[in-house]
Amino acid sequence: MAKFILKRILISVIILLFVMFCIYALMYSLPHSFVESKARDLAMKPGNIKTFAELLTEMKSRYGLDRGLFGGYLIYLRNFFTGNFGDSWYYTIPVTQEFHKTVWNSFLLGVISFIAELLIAIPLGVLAARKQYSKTDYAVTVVSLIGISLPTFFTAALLKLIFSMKLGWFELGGMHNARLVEGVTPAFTYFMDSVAHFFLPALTLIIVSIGGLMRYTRTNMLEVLNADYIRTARAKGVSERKVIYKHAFRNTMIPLVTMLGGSLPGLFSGALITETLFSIEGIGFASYNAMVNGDIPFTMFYLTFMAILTLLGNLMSDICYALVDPRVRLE
Amino acid sequence: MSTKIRFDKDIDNKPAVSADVDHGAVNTEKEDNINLGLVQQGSDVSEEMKLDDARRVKAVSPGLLVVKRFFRNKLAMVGLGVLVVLFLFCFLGAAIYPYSQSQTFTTYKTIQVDYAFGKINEDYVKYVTPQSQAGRTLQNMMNSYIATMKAEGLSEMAVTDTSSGLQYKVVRLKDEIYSLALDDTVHVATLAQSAAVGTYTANKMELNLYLNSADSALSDALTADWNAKGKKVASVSVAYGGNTYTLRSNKIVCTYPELTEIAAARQEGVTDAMVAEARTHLGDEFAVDGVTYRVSAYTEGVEKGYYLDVPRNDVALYSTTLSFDRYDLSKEVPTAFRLDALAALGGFDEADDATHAFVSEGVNYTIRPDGDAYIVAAKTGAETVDYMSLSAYSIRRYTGEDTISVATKRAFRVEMDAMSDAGKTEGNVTVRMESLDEDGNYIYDENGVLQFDDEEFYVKTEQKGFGQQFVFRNKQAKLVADIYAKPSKNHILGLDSNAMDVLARIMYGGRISLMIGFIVVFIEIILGSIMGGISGYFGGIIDNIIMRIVDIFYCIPTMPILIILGAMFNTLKLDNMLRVVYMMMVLGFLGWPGIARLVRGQILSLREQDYMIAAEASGLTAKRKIAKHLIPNVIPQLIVQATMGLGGVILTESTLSFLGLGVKFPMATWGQIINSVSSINDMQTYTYIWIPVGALICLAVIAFNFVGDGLRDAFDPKMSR
Repeated sequence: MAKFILKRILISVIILLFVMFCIYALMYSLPHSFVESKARDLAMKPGNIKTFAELLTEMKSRYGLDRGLFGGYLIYLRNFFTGNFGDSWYYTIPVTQEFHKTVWNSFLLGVISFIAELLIAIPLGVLAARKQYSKTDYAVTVVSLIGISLPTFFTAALLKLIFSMKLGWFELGGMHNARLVEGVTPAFTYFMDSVAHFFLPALTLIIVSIGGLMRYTRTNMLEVLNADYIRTARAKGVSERKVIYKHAFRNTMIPLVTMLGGSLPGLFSGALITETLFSIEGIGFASYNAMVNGDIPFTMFYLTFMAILTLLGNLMSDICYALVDPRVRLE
Repeated sequence: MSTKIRFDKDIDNKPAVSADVDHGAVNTEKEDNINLGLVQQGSDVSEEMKLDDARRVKAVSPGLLVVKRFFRNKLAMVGLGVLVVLFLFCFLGAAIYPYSQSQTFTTYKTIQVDYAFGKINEDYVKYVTPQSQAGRTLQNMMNSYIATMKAEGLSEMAVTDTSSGLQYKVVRLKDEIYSLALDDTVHVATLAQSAAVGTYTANKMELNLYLNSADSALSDALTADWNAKGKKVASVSVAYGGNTYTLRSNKIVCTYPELTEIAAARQEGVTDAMVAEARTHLGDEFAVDGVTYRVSAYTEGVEKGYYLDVPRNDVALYSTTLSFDRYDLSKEVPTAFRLDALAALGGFDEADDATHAFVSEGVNYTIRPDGDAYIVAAKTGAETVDYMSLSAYSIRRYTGEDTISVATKRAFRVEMDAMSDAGKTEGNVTVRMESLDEDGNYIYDENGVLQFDDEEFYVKTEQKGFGQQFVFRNKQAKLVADIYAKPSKNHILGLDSNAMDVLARIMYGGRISLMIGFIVVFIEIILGSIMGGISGYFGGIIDNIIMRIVDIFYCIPTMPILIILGAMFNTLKLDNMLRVVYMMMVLGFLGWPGIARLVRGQILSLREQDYMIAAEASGLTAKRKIAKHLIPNVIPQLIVQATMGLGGVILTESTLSFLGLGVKFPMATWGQIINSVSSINDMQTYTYIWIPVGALICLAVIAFNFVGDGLRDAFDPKMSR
């Protein structure tokens, strides 16, 4: 097991190096004028004491843009692994600081919607599989397909229109009401304000991602239900309840847990579109602003962070698979 | 399994199915009939068939089975129907729909427009008379003189023109009119006792007579006499014609026996009678025709006599706050008329007379007061026509033109007064006035008669410079871009922010969105199946390398990269078509790893199958094995993947375009259309634009997913939907 994990980690690191190279190559091949115009913008920012030429040289050497692709990449790697991520051009604070500020909001949003998804999607998926070809099954299938097909921005817009504008139940966007101050406002009021702000983004996330999980659960449950040992169990006269929840569901859990384990690191990655649409100050919104405004340091950090999360997700799903299914041997 | 059992049962139950098929029956039954039809072709109808009859098994080819299974799937059929409609809508619909995606529409809209502005004149405007000799400085000082006079309550003030030294007088004729007039006396005639008439230089013996007394006889007489006397001439006088000519230091002084008028000095307008009158009033004054003349003695060196003086008070200019408003807007106001009218008005005292007559350029005019204003009427023959209105209000069209009728102006004036008195900043006035068309011109009926209409004006005061200005706004029908028009018969989904037909844009946008989807998926499939095929077929180290590449591509986050590129394209202001091409390439290039994995997995399992061993044994080339035996067997999965992928690509593209990072205006895609109303306010107001588009995106993606799902089930019944 340990050997397997170690091997996977090693491969992951190598892949990460390549991914980072791709990201760096992308940034490197951005048109030259882009960095220049960035330096010009920066030179004009209030509080700046450096000249344009100084800034340009500094920026170029900082990201090794004057070194050629590979030389520059090595510098970038060195900076990265020594934890030197530089200052964000857009936020004008160190990248890590902005990251710390935002990542927990993303995590909160991610966890809330993730748990809600599990609680809704798995039972419905199981139900649909149990009553295959029934009306319930069709309903679940259609709903999940609609969920998959709904564009995030459209869902968000619809929810905003209905729940914020027409009904006025929840907030349109942002994190907190500006009039409320943490610590000063009564804790309950503050909490309810947070709920009003977080509800719609969470709902959006749930709607657009619930379909996939529902279908996945259903498909796997169906597969298990068609397996011979279920027929055997039924033939033995085991109660349907027991068949479903003891025999079938447990086996369905294997792929489910694998998938869910793999998506755990994703909770930190933030929801790029949803956060942006609802102005939730999470890592997704922060990086969206950074990307749109050509903030290379933050963008590079974010892309690398995403790559690491993906690799971590793969690793975790492998490990989960091995942990959950005792039949799997990793040697 | 269950479907198959049902199928068999049906055959057993209905051994002789014939033409009287129930077409209303559900899909399954219909297909069974088709199936049976096929069976019947190759067999005797009456013959009973066994379950394992070889002919039965042959009857349904695998391909047909797939089609059958697909058509049996209700959801897939719904999806397919939606897709067909969608494609017809986007590709055929756009061709037959009357509007194009970039056609803008205009409409007449009644909007409040600034119609006129009015001002109560505070400043005095100068009208300078042609005979004026007043210097510029004096003219320009006029307003300050008037201010001083107002402040001190003077009705007259003496001023001096510094440029000529002449005395002037500023006179208040009315509150609205001040005049600047000469206040000096002028010699109009001279009655001389003695006068210098010429010079004589004794040593040169040169005689020079001033022109006005040039008389050759006199000249000859004097010359003859004085030349003879040589240098002693000084003390000698010569008598000639009753006058005595004396030489005083070279000057010839003529002494008249009695007061004699010097004819050359007489000014215009002086008659002999007046001169005769003057002789009787030496050192005194007399009056002729109301003009006071003064006769005063003068001594200037050797010259002595009496001047006939007349006081001159020519008006140099009028300063007035009155504006001239013409009744007949086609005629210009001559300057001479303005001056005459001002002069006449200055002499018009409403307390004494109801009207006041004056003549200007041969036309008779009368002035009568009209509230704060005065009306000048022209008399032509027996007719009296109102010609001009003078008031302290200047009201002009907002363009600066003076095309407002006097009646309308009067109504405006009244409202302006009322507002000023009440200290209000807003007001309303309804005027029955000439109807205007959309260009602000008068409307005439077919007989050329002006059309009148009640116009409601909304008045607002506005600070302009140091003064206050009244703005009159009315509702005018203007041709404007019909933006955000509500859905109507002509435009089923209304118009967008650029006054373009939303439905047309949806059609054209659908084309682009679908086309992007197809091209991207095509790139993905090509790249993915090549890489996956190579990887799966060759295995070993190549497989390993390719799979690691796939891993790397999996880790590159697609959306952020697209956002970065979109932002960069925005900065570079890249051409729209190029953007689309780049976007498709990037999407395709980042999307192939999934396909590659699928193909590789499939090929790995196919490779182990018996028929591949057979192919190997028969010595087929690798190329042929891949192309003929492996790829065709992967195609079902590819089709499923492609169909599902299409929806995904459409989603990605519309999200990007919605964020303004994908396809940009003027090119339409579904996301771009929603982007045009993405602000909170627009979103709430213009739901008829974005909800149909959003629903359409949804519908398209759902349809692709339904069809993809159906295809997967059809290809691989084990997966059971």
